[in-house]
Amino acid sequence: MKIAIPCVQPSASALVDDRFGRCAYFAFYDEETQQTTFVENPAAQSNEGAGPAAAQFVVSQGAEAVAARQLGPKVTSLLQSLSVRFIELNEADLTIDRVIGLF
Amino acid sequence: MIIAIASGKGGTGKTLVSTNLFQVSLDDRVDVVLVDCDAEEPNDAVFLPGEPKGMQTVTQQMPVIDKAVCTYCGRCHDWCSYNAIFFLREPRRIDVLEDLCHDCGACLAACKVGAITEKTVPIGTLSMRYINKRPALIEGRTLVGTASPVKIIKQAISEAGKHDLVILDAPPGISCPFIATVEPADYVVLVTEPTPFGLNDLALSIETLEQMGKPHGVVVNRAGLGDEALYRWLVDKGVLQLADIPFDRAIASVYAEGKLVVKVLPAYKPVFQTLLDRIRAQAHPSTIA
Ligand code: SF4
Ligand code: SF4
Repeated sequence: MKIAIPCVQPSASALVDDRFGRCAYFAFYDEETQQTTFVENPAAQSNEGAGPAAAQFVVSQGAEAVAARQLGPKVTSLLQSLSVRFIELNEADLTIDRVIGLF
Repeated sequence: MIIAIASGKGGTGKTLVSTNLFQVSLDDRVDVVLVDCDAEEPNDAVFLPGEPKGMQTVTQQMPVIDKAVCTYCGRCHDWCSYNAIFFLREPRRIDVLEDLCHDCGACLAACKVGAITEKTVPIGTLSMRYINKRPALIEGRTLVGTASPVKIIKQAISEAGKHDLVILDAPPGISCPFIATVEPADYVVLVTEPTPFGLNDLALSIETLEQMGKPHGVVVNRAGLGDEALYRWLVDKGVLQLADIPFDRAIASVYAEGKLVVKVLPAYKPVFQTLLDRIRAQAHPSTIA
C-alpha cells in the first residue's frame, strides 16, 4: 500500500504538516518497497479548493491511504468515495520517520 | 453618487457607519438607498425596521458532465482555475465540485466532445425593505455552499438603481467580493480601529484602492483605544481622515441591541452628519463652493 503524508520539508526527519490541502510537500511511503519519495504539493498555492486538489493529486500519485492530522469534510468524503483510507495521526509534532515506523 | 463603506477585516464598525450614515441621510431628506453587499453575513437589516418584500432568487449556471460522452481527456480540469472539477484518469473519475464553481464557463469551452452542458442553480437571494413606501435597504444573501457572492453583489447594486445617494456596505477583506463592491463606487470610506491589526489591514485595503484609482478616506472607530501609530501613518500617507467615532461603551451597547446610535444617542448625530457632508464634498469636489 502507498501512503501519502503531508510534511513541511522534503526529508524523513521533517515534521508532519498540520494542513492537508496546503501542506508544502507530500511524503509517499511505499509499504512494499519501503521507499519514501517527496513531492511538492501542487495545490498548496490554490486560492480555493486546495483540499480537493491535493486529494486528487495524492490519488493520481497512487496513494491508497492518507496519514494526516485532520481532513476537511470535503476531502474526507472525496477520499472515502475513492476508497482511500484515512489514518488519523493523534499525536502532534510527529516526524515522517515516526509515522513510517507505525506501518 | 455611490459610496462604499469598507474595512480590511470584519468587526471594525462598517455596519455601524453604514446604517447610521443611512439614517442621517434619510433625516436630511436625501434620496438614499442602502445596499448590504456583505452577502455572506448581511446584518444591516437588524438596524432597519420593516419586513423584507419582493424576494428574488439569484442563480448561476453550473456545468453538468455527461459521463457517457466524456473521454476523460482532462482538459476541462486543466482549464478550471478554481479546482472545481475533480478529475482522475486512473481510476476514472470526474465530478463538478459545485461549491467551488465560479460560473466562469471555461470548462464548457475546453470540452471538445460536448460532454458538458449547464443547469441553472440558485446561489442567493435579494430582498428589499421599504421605509415610508420608498425602497430603503437591499440585502444580498448567499445560500450555504455558494462559491462566490460576486454575482449576488452585482445584482444587488444594480437593483438599487439610480438615487442621489447609494450606500454600499462592502464585504470585509480585499478579494473579489470587495472589488466587485467598490468598483462602481465614486468614493470609498474605510473604517478602521487605532490598533496595530487595524493599521495592517487598512494599509492592504488602501493599496488595493490606490491600484484601482478609487478616491478614499478613513473613519477611525473606537478612537481613543490603541495608540497614535494609525494617525501618524494617515498623515504620512496623506490619507484623508474623515471622522473619529470615539470609544464609548454606550455606542457599543446600543449597537449590540440592534439600534441606531443616531436615534438613541442624539449627541453622536453631528459626527455622522459631518461625515456625510465631508463624503459629499470629497465625492463631488466641484460642489463645495
Ligand atoms: S464553470 Fe469555471 S469554475 Fe465552474 S467548473 Fe467550469 S471551469 Fe471550473
Ligand atoms: S473536457 Fe470533456 S471530455 Fe475531457 S474530461 Fe472534461 S468533460 Fe470529459
